[in-house]
Amino acid sequence: MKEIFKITMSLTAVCIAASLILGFVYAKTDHARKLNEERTEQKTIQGLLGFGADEKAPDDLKIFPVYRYVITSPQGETSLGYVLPLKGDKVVLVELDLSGKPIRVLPIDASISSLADQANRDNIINGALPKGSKSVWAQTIFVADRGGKRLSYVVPGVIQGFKTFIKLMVSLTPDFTVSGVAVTYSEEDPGLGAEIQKDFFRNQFVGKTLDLIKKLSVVKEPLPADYASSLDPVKAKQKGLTAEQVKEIKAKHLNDDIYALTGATISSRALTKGVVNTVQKFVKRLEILDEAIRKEQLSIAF
Amino acid sequence: MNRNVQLLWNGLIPENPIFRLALSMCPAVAVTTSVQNGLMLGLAVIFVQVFSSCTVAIFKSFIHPRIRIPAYVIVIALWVTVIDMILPVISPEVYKQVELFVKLIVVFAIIISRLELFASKEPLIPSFFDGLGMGIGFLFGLCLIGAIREFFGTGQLFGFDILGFNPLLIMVLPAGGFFVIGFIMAIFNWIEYKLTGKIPTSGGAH
Amino acid sequence: MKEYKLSHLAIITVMSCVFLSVMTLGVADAGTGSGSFKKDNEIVISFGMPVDEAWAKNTANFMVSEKTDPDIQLPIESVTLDAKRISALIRFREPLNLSSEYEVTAKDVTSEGKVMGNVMFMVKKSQGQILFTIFLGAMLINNFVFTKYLGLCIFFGVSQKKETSIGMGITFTIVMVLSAIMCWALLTFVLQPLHLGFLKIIVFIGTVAIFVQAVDTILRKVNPYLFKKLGVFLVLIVTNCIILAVPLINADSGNGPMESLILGLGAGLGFALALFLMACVREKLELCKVPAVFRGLPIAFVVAGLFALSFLGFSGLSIF
Repeated sequence: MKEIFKITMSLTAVCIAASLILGFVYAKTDHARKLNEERTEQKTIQGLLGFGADEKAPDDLKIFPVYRYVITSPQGETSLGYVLPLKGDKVVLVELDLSGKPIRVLPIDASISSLADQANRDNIINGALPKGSKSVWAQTIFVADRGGKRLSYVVPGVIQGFKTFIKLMVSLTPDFTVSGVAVTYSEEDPGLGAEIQKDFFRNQFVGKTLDLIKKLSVVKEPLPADYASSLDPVKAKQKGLTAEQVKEIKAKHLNDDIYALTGATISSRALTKGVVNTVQKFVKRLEILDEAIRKEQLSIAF
Repeated sequence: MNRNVQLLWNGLIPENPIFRLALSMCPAVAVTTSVQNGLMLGLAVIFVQVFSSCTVAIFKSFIHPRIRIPAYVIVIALWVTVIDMILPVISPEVYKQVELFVKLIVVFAIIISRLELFASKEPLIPSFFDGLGMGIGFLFGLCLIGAIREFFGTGQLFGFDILGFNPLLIMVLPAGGFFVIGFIMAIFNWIEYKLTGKIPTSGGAH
Repeated sequence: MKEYKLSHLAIITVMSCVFLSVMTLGVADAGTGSGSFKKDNEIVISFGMPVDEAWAKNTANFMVSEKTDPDIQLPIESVTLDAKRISALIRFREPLNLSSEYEVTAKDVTSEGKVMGNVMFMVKKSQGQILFTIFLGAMLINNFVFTKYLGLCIFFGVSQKKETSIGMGITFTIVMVLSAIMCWALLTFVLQPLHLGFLKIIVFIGTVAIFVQAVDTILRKVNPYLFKKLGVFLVLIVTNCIILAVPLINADSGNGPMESLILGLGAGLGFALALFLMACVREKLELCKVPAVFRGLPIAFVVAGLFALSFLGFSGLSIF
């Protein structure tokens, strides 16, 4: 009996000590981890906009998030809620029905930067909605604004890849031409599917206009050598191509479909489909949203 | 030779956890598609091994022998969770690649076997050096496999293009990891055969 | 000895039968108000009563969207009724994503000239199909040993003889399934309500270690014969990566109880299969002339590499 007591006590002591240390470390690192995730996201967005180590982002560049929520009313009807930043650091929630007609505009009592944390944001949005409504976060879109003019949209998307899902981000110019594609998460096979993250594959999407994107497909042909070297900045430098030459080659291949990766057609198709879906859905939604903003005469920040 | 130095050397070559003891093979195949991943996981393992060894060496008199295995598991799980929280803060990009395996350090046989065979019997200082030696040996193994696979599989090292083409794509595929380890083990055996004249029997693998 | 093998085969057969029947039960749960996929661009819905052809032909009467994107309507190419006019086949211009859920709204359903109001249909893969996909994925396509490289220590340690490999495979599968379901329960009912997700590694491994210890103790007292056969493997299981990887994967992908259980079963049987295949080869290898420095583990690794290559052939395999 005494033995059992002793064993139980010492095992309990080990567990309690372990949990205490863990709790302490968690409290110390949790904030830093979240901050890091945010920073990584910001870095990806800046990279898509063409800013990075070589070219610092200008000071007047502002990146505004737009949060999309799916709202279910107490009667069971579905509507969409867009959280938009207004001029003067105010925030509103615009609720639209499924056909795009505005239902109501609710002021949100918080600054846009304080809404970055999802748990906090969910609470605030649910509190602002009428009692009995439920809201679920669906997507965060980023709008880059420079000197009061929209510079670019950055839209995240998800698609089923070869192994697990692939998370991606597409940046679009105001006239919906793709200006960059980034893969933010994937577990494709290294050497095969993981090549979708490489410049020479991602950059094939750059420059494709909305009309081209709509009928974009994947071809199982080898990537032409001149095109390959123009897509990868490092290779272009090695080959001694000037900026004009690169532009010329890219223009020549602008109407081409996406060249599939050797041995990873499924991953190539998945990313292409992901980009096409993301862009098409976004364009539809933005038209509806801009229309609603005009109707409600909101002075949004971008 | 100083005993502590000998303990370090012991973990690096004569009792290398991967090639000689054949313990904890899973990460040796799985994360070694590049040197960088191997380096990251290797550092995590050193951290866990050293801290667990020291913890057990200090508190061994408090741990009842009947429950020593569950107690060791909890000690290891503690340090693994700590490193699992710290890594994403230090290097989020590489952490993403090795995430599952950092969590799985808990079940790496090498760590618990060192606690059972060494740290539970010896005082703090030798335990520290034994843990460090084993950790460094593990890091060395991961980096060696990672370098071979990355170089032959993608023509790169540390992410820098060296060859400019892929000589042997199979090296970064699942199968390549098995082949590379098999061949390195054979080379280790061959070296020992040349030095001692005996063919060693590779260790019990679990 | 022969008896022993047969009894184990019997256990495997019974277990697979039980789970297959559970899966087919899942398939049968589709009732009214739900639809199903036919081809990758076709959905079939059933109204439960004859509807008017003229109404059904008008594609504007049907609204289809993904459940996550209720505002994006999918373009419908055509709607055709079957001979009895009870069920309709909706064909789309673009292929659907069969792993996601769709909502079909039929506006003002008209039957014999009378308007019956709106009807909504949920369309998704049946539970049975989803579970079978998970099972096949864990066992063959993403075999934990050959494509995820997990559980290698035990894999090389106990694959010298067929006899031991079968014992290990079965013990492991049982422990795997039970610990997957236990870890799921702990995560859902204890860790998540208390916001202690960061403790999951320590809790999962603790659960597995305690469970294995308990089985060991109980088996020793209750059935010494079975303990003699399987007891040695129990201790080894705690150091097998798969036993921890499966609960972690379950937790990360938010799997429910059935999905967790099936993933555990698939992973366990996949491991057993890998172990058995490897043991068959290694028994034969004993009789071969292997270069001296390659004897033992090195050649086993090369063989495992060959197996891994052949398991690449399963990739892209899908039945539903």
